[in-house]
Amino acid sequence: MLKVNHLYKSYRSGGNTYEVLKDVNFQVKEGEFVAVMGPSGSGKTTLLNCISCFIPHDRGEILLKGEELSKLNEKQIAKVRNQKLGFVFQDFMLLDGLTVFENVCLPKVIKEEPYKKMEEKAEGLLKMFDIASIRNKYPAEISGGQKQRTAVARALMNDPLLILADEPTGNLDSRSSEAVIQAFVEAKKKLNATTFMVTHDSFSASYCDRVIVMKDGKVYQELTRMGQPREFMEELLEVLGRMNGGERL
Amino acid sequence: MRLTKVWGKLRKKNKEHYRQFYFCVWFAVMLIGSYLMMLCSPLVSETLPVGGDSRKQVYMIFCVAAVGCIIFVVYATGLFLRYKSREVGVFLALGTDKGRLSRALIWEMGQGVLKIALLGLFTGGILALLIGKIFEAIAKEATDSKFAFTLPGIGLGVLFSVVIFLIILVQAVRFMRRSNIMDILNEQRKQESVKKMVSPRYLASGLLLTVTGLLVGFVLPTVVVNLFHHWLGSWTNLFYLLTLVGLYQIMVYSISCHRRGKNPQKYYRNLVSYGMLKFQGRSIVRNMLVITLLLAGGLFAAFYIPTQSSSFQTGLEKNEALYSWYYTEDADELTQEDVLDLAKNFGVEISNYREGEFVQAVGSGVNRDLVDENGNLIEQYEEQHAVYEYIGASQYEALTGEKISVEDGTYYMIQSPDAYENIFNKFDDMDKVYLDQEDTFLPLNFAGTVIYQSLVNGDWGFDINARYVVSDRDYERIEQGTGEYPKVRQVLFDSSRGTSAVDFCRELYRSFAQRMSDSMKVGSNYDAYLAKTSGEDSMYAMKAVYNPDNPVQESDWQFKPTLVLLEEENGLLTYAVYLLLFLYVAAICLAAVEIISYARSQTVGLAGRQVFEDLEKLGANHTYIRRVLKKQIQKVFVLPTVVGSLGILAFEVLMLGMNDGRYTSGEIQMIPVLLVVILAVSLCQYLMYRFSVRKVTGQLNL
Repeated sequence: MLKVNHLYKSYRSGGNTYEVLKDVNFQVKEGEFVAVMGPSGSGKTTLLNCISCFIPHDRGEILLKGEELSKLNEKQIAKVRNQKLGFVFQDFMLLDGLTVFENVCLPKVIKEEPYKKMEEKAEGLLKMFDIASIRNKYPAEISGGQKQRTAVARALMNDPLLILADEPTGNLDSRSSEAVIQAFVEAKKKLNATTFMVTHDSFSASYCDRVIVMKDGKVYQELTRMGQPREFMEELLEVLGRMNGGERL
Repeated sequence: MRLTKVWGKLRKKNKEHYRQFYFCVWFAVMLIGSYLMMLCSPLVSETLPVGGDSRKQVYMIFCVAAVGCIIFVVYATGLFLRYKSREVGVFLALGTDKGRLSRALIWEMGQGVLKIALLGLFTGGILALLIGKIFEAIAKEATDSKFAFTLPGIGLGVLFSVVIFLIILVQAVRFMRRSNIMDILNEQRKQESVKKMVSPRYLASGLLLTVTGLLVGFVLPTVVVNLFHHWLGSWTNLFYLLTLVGLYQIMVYSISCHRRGKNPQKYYRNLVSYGMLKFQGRSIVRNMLVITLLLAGGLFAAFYIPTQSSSFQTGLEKNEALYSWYYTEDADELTQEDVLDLAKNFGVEISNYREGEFVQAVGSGVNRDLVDENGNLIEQYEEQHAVYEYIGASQYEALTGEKISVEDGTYYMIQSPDAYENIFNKFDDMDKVYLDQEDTFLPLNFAGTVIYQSLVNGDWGFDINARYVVSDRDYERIEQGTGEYPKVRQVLFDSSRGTSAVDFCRELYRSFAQRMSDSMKVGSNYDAYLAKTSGEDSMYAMKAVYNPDNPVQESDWQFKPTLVLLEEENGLLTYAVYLLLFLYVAAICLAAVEIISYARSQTVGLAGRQVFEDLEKLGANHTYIRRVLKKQIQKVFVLPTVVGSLGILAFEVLMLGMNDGRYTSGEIQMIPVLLVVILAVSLCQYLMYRFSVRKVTGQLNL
């Protein structure tokens, strides 16, 4: 589904060049739930921004179902973001003026799809993520967990090839975080959704099929979950601790 | 580094916010200051009659503009303080003493506003001077008054600036009084949502309140006075507040009520703009209301010009003779020979020259100027009411060429084609003539009216201006039985047209004025009987105001000759100052409308920047975002323009009808002209909308 080949990205500041991504390579298969972890400055958010086309990369290629994203023009990128990618952000990015239901509808509204199909789809997602009871509430009136589940539902609205989630549990308490991660798991189970998530949270990452650990702009290690999330979390903490010189994260 | 230095640095970094705030203050002070200086200048104050309708209208529209400008400044200050809130919040969070911070903020704003207000007054003065000189140049024929700065004009301008200054300071002090840092920090992110969902009933009640306010405030007093002869008093004006509330509800509905309804596709298409607008709703609604009122005020002022032009033109067309004047027989006035000689000198051909004679005598009538303590109109019959003019039937036929048969003991009133009876004027008020030489009365009965505009005195020929056709026998009887007031001689004729005819008219005017007797040097409300009974200070005893050498100059002169060709030539010059003043008011209101609309569009666009970025991340392309933006900016322009224009058009049409209880053909013909004015203003709004969209899309890199 997603192929990242020899990806390089650097920033220039005050005459100096800082290489943030150095020859990053990995793949995400269809229906896979993948997390990227790593310490601050490891390049994980930059990686996500490159895949999202929010920022351009220097070298290498990002292929979404075989389509090279860097070769697209502005209109084509917008179309990809709307129809092939779904986004979940740390600060939810829900529109304050719209209800939960309307926020969920948004990707199809942008796509200008006929309303009947859109409403049916949105209703289904609201039920799936247990937010149907708050469908007419505004973002200011609901909890953080409900906001993020709304955002997940919104991300799935156009049946994207890939959901990109940037620290989706970063602003949530543990209970809400679990509900949000369960939402991604549900999406994978019921909709065969492919998710690529950047996170600091080992608990959230433990529910993933695979975790890519990054360090200094490179893929440090890839871990695949074989058993239950609890066991996988132990494994993750160990790897991360080793990577940080013995300290557990 | 001191706090003021830090303020200074921040100011440099955020020039745009300061610029917008100071621009609003400058604009408000400049507009209102210039208007006040103009209004108090001799050029305008000496032209607008004290207590006249035009003065009231100018004041009324000015009040709308002033209130609009104040609201505009309050809004701009609110926006500025909201931007400042983050800085203030951070300073407070870092432990800065609140008193110190308050002083720094108030000092900064106070100093800035003071400078800007002075600049506003100065530029307002320059603007007033420029416009005043243009007024002078255009109206130089019509008035000797000059534009000049006056102490009241400057004083009122300063007073307005002080009011603005104090309002801003109060807002700043209130802002700083908030004890909670979080409140101040959150101020910048404060959402101004209107009622989330209002029902169609809310809209219906808004429409009802708007219409009720208008009807009760404007129509009811006239209806009551016509039906029950009772003045309701000025308290009915309070009902206009209902219109204001109603308009507010209509605006709120337009922002907050968007339902899936019968066209869900359209609803979803505009979903984002609806939602974004709703969360800036309160300030948008306030803005829309101010724009609506200012636009209505501006259009009302602009309507004055076509309505005056139209009534002036139709007034001239009604005259049967191109030349019409009358004079008392004690005057050594122009004879037929004099007229013919003068015409010859100018190469003008005179035709249809005819003369006739009216006898003046006191007649009975009804005094309707009185009101009792409860506001009821009193009708008081008076055997001796005013001096009227009477003409014999055969003389009337000779003058007009129209056959008339008047029975003895009856009379016909000479009337204008548009004359109508109302609660103040009736055709049949007179029923006897006082024969002063015999101290007896000659009873006369009303037989009807005859139409001949060139013989009508004053605007309508009622009351003190009344003229009657009586039978030849009754004419002789009145002539023999009276002697206190001189007879008057009426002259009517036509001529060839052309430039020389206009010059001939000018010379006629001058000669006529120079040769008139002292008894003719009286104002248009003069009545010899009422002047005697009401006293020399009364309106019935006023002296004439006229300039023999300048017929364009506004006059108040009962015997002013009607010279149609001259009036056609001079057109509306006589009313130039009125027209220009109304044009000025219209320009002020409309300029304020454009600026407020533009500023609001900027706010709408820039406040939504984050949302537009979010939308882009969700896959919306620039075309989509531009559409969302346009939809929001349209809201600022479309509804206020539609409601303001149609509302004031309805009011104007209502006013034309209420003036005399009917619509004349001239009034009906004028409605398309008013629509053209509305169209022109709408075009300005459209151009400003285009400009605003272009500017905001540029700022957002769309």
